[in-house]
Amino acid sequence: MESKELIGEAWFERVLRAYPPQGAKFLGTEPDPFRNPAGHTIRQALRTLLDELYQDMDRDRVTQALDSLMQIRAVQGVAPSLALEFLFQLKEIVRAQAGGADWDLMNGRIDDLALIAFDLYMKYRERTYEARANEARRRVFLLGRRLMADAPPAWPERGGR
Amino acid sequence: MSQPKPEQLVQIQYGPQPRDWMDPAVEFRKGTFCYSALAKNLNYLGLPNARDWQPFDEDWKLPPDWKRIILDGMKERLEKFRSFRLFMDICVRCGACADKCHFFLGSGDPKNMPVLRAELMRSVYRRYFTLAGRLLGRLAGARDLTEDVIKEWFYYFYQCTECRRCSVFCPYGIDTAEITMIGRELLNLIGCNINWVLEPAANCFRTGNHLGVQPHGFKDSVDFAVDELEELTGIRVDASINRKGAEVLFIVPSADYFGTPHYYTFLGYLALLHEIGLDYTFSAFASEGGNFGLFNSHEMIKRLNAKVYAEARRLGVKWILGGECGHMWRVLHQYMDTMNGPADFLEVPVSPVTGTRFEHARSTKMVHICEFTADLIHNGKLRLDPSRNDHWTVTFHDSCNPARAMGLLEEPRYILRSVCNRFHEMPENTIREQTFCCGSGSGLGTDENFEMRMRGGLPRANAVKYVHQRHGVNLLACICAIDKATLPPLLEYWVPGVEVAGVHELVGNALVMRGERPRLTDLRGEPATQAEAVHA
Amino acid sequence: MKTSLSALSLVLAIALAAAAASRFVWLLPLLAVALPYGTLAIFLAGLSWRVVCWSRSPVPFRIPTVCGQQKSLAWIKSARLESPHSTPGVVARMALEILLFRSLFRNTRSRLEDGPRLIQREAKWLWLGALAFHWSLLIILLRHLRFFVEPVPKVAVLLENLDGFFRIGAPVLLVTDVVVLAALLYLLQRRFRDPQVRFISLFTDYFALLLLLGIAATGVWMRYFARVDAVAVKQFVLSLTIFAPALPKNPGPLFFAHFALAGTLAAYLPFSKLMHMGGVFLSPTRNLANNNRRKRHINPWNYPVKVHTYEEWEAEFRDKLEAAGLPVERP
Repeated sequence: MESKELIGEAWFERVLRAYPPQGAKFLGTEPDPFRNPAGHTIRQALRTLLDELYQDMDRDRVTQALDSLMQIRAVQGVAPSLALEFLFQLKEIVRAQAGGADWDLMNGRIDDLALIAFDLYMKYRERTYEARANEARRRVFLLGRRLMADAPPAWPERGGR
Repeated sequence: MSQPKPEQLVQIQYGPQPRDWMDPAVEFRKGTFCYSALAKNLNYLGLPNARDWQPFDEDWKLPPDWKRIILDGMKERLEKFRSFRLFMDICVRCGACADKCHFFLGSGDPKNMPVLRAELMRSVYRRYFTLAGRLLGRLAGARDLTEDVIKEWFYYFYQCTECRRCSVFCPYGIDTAEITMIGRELLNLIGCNINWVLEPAANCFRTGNHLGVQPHGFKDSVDFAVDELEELTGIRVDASINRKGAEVLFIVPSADYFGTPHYYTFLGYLALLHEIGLDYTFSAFASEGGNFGLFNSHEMIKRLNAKVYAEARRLGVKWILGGECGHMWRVLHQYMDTMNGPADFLEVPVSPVTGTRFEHARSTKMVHICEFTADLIHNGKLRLDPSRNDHWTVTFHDSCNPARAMGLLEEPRYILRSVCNRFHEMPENTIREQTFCCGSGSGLGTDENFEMRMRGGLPRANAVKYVHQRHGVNLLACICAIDKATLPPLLEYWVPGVEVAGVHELVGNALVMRGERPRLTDLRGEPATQAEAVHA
Repeated sequence: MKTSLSALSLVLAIALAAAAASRFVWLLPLLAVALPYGTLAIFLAGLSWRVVCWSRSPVPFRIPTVCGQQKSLAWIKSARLESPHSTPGVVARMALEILLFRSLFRNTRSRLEDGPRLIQREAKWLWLGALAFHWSLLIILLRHLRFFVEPVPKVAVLLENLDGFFRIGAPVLLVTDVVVLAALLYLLQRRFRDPQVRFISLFTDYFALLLLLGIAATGVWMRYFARVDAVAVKQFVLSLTIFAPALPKNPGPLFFAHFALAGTLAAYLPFSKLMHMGGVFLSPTRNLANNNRRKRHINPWNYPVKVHTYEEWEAEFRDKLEAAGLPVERP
């Protein structure tokens, strides 16, 4: 139990290191979720992931935790490899702590996490594209609407098949 | 300080980490900056150093004497603005503002702490305008003005939405917006500006509105809205344009008659003003309330704002009504009268329906539509059926400028409570004067800046998410055109399932109009709620 | 680290130099006469120059940061303090700001979080530390009147009695002496400990704190431990105030360290961020009423700008206006 908490702390610290040093300190210390949304989300997510890793790897819970993490990472202007790096860093940390048989299990589970995370990262990247396209559409909404209004009200019958 | 551990060294860092903040280092990464202004826009407005360039270029093609221009510009502004001189001098770097900026909260970039954003300018001020800085240099917190400093200014002054949240918490009231505004003015002197500010400004100067909609296009838009409103309610409203002798000139941000969800707010205005029989006219010349001059220079504010009073005078109206818009109201409330007043040819606004004299607008003669509508509702002049908004569970986002420049806090809330049944506030430290910015204000709402906007908007989205999960909130109401444009993608990304609407869209939904036919849909054309079907 | 160390060495150097110089009789005039008058002159000249500078720059726009409901419709309660619409409101807002640090206090929410555990807000401590420091400093300065005026002003006596309320030790322990040291140490440690504040701290930030800390420490040392001859000090100070300086009869190196540090502070103040003391009164986001639409604010340098007139606009779009059936001025 104690080692899990050590791992958790080490991991959180590693994840924060991908941020500029000053920002990382801040993300790590400010506990109010409204004033520090990114740090709060990261901490919560990592805690859940670690719990699941040591227990039954509930797919829903794992996905949910990774989801909120990937949502933040997908708009932080980093390469996908860097966005997902934290999972592979976890391997190092766990290996240093866990014994042989334990390690094989963990290794496989972390790989699973990485695959789920990859899907989620892509989901959010796609969502940015959709949001951008929708935004562009909304900006000229009336233009489109007016064009549609000028179009014939219904499709005429053309006959045949 | 301690030696980095080996694993720290293999870490890929966010760009090079400077020794301390005084070494300028900016990397223009895709998604985190806005493109430069096109030469045609600069030329149209008569602004200096029009050229082809981009922030990621090595050579910014600055004029040869750029340094002198900046320093002369600083000197001039130090003499013209007490705010600027004072804010350069009195910061004690207590750090109270540090975690108040949405960009810092969302990005973790230390130079987004308001204090440091201002220090980017202060360090140059000390070097060239104070004795200590001239003598002691870096020891006195002074640094030379170099091209890299200019690039840094550009990056960070266009990464501030001038929302003024930090100013609420500063023990001396130091307002970063003031510093950013001056910073942008200075950059403007050497032609370092962004297109998302300059193009709307040029359009507005020429055609009367940001979108460059010409008079016939404006009329088509308004006519189209009148037609649609008739389809929705069965009532044909009259919306005149450039009509002389109307009692009131009504000015809205141009997005209201072009974008969505703004457009539904526009329908709401039309329904409301028809129902109470207000004698008003739009203007195709003053067809924009917004003022992107605010994001460019004080002079540009005045140039673009001049048409408001000029048109009111030409049309011979008694007073002016203004639609839902954020920075538009900062200009109207805090700058217009000073710059282009006195409006002594107008009358103190009086609501012809309730007889209320808007004493608080007795000099400027311009009333916010939320003030106007709240007065109507309070005097029982509107028949409202809030159950028509029962498909919405609403929260209210205070737009930065109406909140922190005007103090327009209760009027919109009063309206919302009157026109919808389900209303929940977001957490206390994220609303009213402490409201978090949408992350896209002050001309930063561009497509290319999308990722930075998502980061900057995270604190706001986070608070929305809280009420979304806790109370099932599915609609964020606001009174700002930029909010309506940029909160939808923000929420689409962070909190799917929450829509954005103007306050007057909800008014339009709830308004029971004389002679209307049963509403089968709301103003969006969505099927009416269960309650409404029974009502019908 | 480098900046804080250099600030520390500078403060120590000043104190030690003054203490050492006091050993040499031929240096005494410099230390006891030139230093106080010189630094006082710099202080006064610098202060006035600074204030003149500020007041020469006009306030072109009325830009209060509004922190509460505006005064608009009669039935909506306006926030008189946070969004003042008249002069009394502004005065009250400024008083709250200056006397109680209203804006710093704003950040006081504590919250039960993860755990559950109660989070202490650093910002609240900052408010407390700042308030404790500034008020103690003010009281200490007023107490010092007893060295400058004869007979000792009532206010100084009263303050000293209040200050020594606990009647501990001899000489009686003054509360403000403890508070000022504690507050200064708090403010200093947060510059080291808080990563954000450390990142933004400059030489001047450390220097100002260490200088004040040096003054307070030497003062406390003199009063409680070295037991400097207060009567001799007073005679010397009084002689300064009537411009007939009489060289002190050996009040000791500690006194001169204190004296020189205080002089340094006076001379340094007008050129440093410590001018926030005066600047806060002039801050346009705080000292203006939110009555923008009620009363016109005048900008002294308001100048005409190039605008696009209606006539030019109509000329450019005449065809389109006519085609759309919109009224025109000149058909």
